[in-house]
Amino acid sequence: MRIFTVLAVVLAVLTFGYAAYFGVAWYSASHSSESSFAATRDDALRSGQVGITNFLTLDYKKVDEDLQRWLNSSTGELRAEIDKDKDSRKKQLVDAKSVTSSKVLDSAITELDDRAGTASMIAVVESTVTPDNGQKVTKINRYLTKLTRTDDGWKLSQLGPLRAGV
Amino acid sequence: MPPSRRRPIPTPPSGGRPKVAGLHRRAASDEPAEVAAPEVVQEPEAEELKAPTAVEWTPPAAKKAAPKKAAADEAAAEPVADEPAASRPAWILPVALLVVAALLGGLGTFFLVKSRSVAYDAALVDSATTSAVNGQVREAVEKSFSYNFADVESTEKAARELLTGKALCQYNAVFGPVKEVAPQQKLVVTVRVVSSAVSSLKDGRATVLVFADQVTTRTTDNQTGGGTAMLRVSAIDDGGRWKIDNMEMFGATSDQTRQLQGC
Repeated sequence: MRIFTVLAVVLAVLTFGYAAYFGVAWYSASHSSESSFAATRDDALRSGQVGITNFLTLDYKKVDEDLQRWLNSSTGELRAEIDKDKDSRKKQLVDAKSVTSSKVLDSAITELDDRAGTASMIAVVESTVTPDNGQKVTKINRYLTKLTRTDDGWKLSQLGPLRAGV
Repeated sequence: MPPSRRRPIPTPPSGGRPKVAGLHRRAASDEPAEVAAPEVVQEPEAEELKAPTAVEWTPPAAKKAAPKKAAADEAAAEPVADEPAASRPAWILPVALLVVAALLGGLGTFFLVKSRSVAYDAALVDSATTSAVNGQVREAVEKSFSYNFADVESTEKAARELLTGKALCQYNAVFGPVKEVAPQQKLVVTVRVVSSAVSSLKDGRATVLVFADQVTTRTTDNQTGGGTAMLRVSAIDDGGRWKIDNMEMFGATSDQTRQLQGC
């Protein structure tokens, strides 16, 4: 019986060491600056994708709703710009009488400054524009956007197409 | 009767001497001497026998110590075995320890799996590798898709060196038609990467989103055309050099897509 006790003690000590080692490994891996940076990057990327989709989706029949969504997903420069000429923009959209829906096909973060809370992102977007009584047109465009972290998550602070010869 | 007993014992022939009582007595007195002689011979034998026994004697001394130790063990074990027996069964301690060991083992394995699953994508996190991948993929795209009718060799060399596997076939599918008309039209194609970003970097594989501009000049009549391209490029680490092994084109014509997928 004594030999079993000794073996059991040895086994318990070994498994304690095993559990302690990987407990520490898990803790340090999930709390490393690298993994938190990776999480920030993924967060910014997701917010950027949603933001771009929001900005490139509009329906002339519910312009107020669309403009409000634009304001909600933007900050800084971009938000100020939209807010400033809200009325003329609204008229323009209503007159165009078209419905646009967009989908981000691929995107990637080009730069990320975790401390400053800024990021840049490029995205390939497929947009389908359907005029009031016309044929719908699908186009694929490329965009560059800048993101800024706010208390309410990452938001778009700049957005523009990357045209040829830029 | 001693005399009759001695007689059958082989004795040296008496030399034809008549069997006289007196002589017989002498012979009898000689006999013990002869018997004594083998006894003397036997004596060294006995000594020889004694030697092994002397050797054998030491182990018994050791054996004697071992039982003593075992006895001490028994003596030590007995009170231990007796003590728990008084309050609880002897098996309870090892079993409890085994249960603890099993729980710790399970916990350790849980932590092991968790710590492995923490593995994150290294894009931008590993800034040195990210910029190396980005730079090398940009270079590969620009060099292998830029073309000068006067220097075909450098484009082909770049393509061979910087592309690998499936990407070589895709490259030929996309660039083949250009190469065909290039010498007659004296084409100069310049590809410039406008923007690019590493979207994934893991286990020696990378995915890069590349935005490129293409300017094509027909030097025979100086006609210039341009276009934009959006590529998703896969690259593998080939001994320190990141080589493109797959390309996907966004907004490609259905013909181009079919050609790329045919590889």
